[in-house]
Amino acid sequence: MTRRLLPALALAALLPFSLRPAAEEPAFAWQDDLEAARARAKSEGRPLLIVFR
Amino acid sequence: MATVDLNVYRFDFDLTFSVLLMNADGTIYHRYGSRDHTSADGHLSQAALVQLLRDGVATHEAYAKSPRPPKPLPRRTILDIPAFAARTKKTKVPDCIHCHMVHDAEREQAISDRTWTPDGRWIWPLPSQAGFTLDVESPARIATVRKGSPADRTGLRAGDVVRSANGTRVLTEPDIQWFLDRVDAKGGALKLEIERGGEPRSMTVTLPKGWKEVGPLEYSWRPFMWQLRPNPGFGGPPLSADEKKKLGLAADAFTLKVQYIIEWGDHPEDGRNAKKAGIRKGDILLSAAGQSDWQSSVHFQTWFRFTRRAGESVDLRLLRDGREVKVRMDVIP
Repeated sequence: MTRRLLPALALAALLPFSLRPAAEEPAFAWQDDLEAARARAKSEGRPLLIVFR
Repeated sequence: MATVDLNVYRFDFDLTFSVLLMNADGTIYHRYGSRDHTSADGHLSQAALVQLLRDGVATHEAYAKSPRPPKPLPRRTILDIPAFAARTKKTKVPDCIHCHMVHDAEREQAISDRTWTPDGRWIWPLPSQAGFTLDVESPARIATVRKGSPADRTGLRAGDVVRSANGTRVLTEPDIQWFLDRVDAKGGALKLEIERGGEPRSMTVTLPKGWKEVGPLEYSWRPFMWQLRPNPGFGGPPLSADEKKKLGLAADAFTLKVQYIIEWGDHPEDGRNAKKAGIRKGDILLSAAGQSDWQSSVHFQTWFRFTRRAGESVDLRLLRDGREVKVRMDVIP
């Protein structure tokens, strides 16, 4: 149950950031595609949020 | 985890859920996700994660003013750990490499390098090992301080807010665990900056020899436990309430139905040893070494690994076909 629920919890937690200016939003990544997200975060100067599950 | 660079992304790999908030240059700002043996999600809260994201953006903005990127290290994945690579040559690379397999692989490599010590099992200690717990909803705030603990002797109090550890801003429990993990199991110190009543204070928590150690129950949730030795060579689930009732056992009695006896893996001798002692599939373990106060099968498994020593023997009380059977099993390394 935990494995199913916690990623949903993380995504729900991200929702408030959809209202913020893009540069302040963390770029989001699952563990499987984090290097692409890291490159994106770098080019945009954003923090990076990675969820491992 | 097959492609994750272990020189960059470090967290408690035994967890089923972990979050890193970081700079793209490899600087980890904050971590989120921790647990204890009572449940997988008892230390998690959506409100705390939202607050971390808000406060973490402030960490990012502060860092951007004077970035200090970590020295780049060569990319290193689990497949680059020689012990793991050798294992997957014999079998094959699993379709899905679980996070906890990293701990297992690193331990196996440490054994191969002769750098493994029994203290290596005490990974990612919770703040409760230092004597304080954190508020799940507001995880920089101290919820409780155990009387007589290192935290108590330092003067920490419930309600104090931890602002930094060893000079680095912390917002979460695993942020603090990161620094606790770096304190030697034989003793050391953790410097904390806290806020009490709006005033900052500096505290140094002195941690004595053995401070990282936890009992079998507290450790039993870690998949890492299964790699430790000695291994009883058998295992299985508890009986259901109905099964216990039919056998006339108390509802709260410990039971473990022997569902498997090890015949595979690196140590099939463990199963041969259990068979030699007379243990059979279908037996129901009632007690070992006169003890039976385990809360679960994994609690028993962890107890065996933590307390039994190779060269000793252990007396087991079993139920077989409704009759009690006693066997003596050697403990092998």
